[in-house]
Amino acid sequence: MSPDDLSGSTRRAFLGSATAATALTLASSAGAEQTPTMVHGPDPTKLAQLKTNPAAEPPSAPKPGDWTKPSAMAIPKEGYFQLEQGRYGPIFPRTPANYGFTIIAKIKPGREATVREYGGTIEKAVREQPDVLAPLRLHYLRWVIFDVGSGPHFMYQGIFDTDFDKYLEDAVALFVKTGINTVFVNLEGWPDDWKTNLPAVIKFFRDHQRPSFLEYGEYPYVSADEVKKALRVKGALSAMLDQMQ
Amino acid sequence: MNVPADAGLQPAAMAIPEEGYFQLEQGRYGPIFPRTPANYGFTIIAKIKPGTADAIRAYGKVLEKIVRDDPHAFAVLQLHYLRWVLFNIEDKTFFMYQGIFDTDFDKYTEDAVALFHTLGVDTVFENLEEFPADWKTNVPAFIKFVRDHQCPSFLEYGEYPYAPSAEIKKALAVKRALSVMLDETQ
Repeated sequence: MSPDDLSGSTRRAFLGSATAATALTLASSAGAEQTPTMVHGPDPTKLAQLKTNPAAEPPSAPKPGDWTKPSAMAIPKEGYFQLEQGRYGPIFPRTPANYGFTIIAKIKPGREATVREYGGTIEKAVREQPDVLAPLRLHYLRWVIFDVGSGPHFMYQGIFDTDFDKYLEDAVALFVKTGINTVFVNLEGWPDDWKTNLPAVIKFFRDHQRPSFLEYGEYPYVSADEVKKALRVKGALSAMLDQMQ
Repeated sequence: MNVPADAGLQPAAMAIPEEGYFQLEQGRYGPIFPRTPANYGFTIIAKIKPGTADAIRAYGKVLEKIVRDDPHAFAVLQLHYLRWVLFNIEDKTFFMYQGIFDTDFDKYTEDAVALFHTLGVDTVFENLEEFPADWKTNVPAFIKFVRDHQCPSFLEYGEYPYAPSAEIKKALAVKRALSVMLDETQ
């Protein structure tokens, strides 16, 4: 880390203005959305061989925002706990693994190699400008091609900190702005007028979204920004202590 | 673990060959898959036995409760994130187990077999086609199943690349402790 990164900062700014309020920030942002979702109804499926009772909720359940306690969340088949309409469809919940999606779509015949080449394109774009994907507020991305006997399919799996629809709006704007043609033009069902028809793009993603039924986070509900700030603070403190040796 | 000096400070993406590795290097059970900016991980996709979707889905609640009762139940797996997904392709239902973690592929699988057996959730895999019937006494067969159903990424991206989960948690703790200390000196 460059010392310049910290120049001109007060102690409070050095830590990041959100630091002191980290717990509150996380609790409020996640809690507002998650509180209802942590209440579990009876499970209609009975598994005689299981020793545990999924319906029981002990009082010690970790609160969203407590990153010291790893957390797992079972998610209903629909992908949400209560139907709440967003701008383009149901709002998907934030989970211990933050927001995210698993988009699965069939690749147009003969396009598998083209899709695979986009891996190199994105690698190069990020190498040349590491913050090129910053608007998407990502943690991790994984692109996978798989074939389970029905022809090659593309899977786009992301973990990020914005909600589903905002991520898509930002992603389309980013691609249009950078001039990078999207890998999705190689997928069946992708709208030809994607550059000017945002609702059609979002419909494509929603149609191809496959919600998790379980998500787990080892440091749950922590945003990527908070992770990066913490790593910088720890790095700076470590460097400072080294200088005092 | 070999952590790059700039771990965690600069986003990075890595394109990965179709095989899932850059150079063939044999591990204990097969090729060693590389660590990427998104750490180690896997995407296991397997067809489920007909009529078992609800039973598989129910394990989500079981795992949720296990972690709620003991948040560090999965500590040995050195996880960042886990996602379990059921999806259909042409009226066939598939189970996807997607994980991001800090141990290598085979060690994760060995640890997971042992842990899931202890926790009593290993039986979820019995709902998958081609799963070895003798898995309880045949870890190599379990690992072969996992390897046979692994779908390597061709691109992985990390916003705080190569940062191990333990480092992230330490950093969050340091930041919080420092924040509290500064508040006390106000």
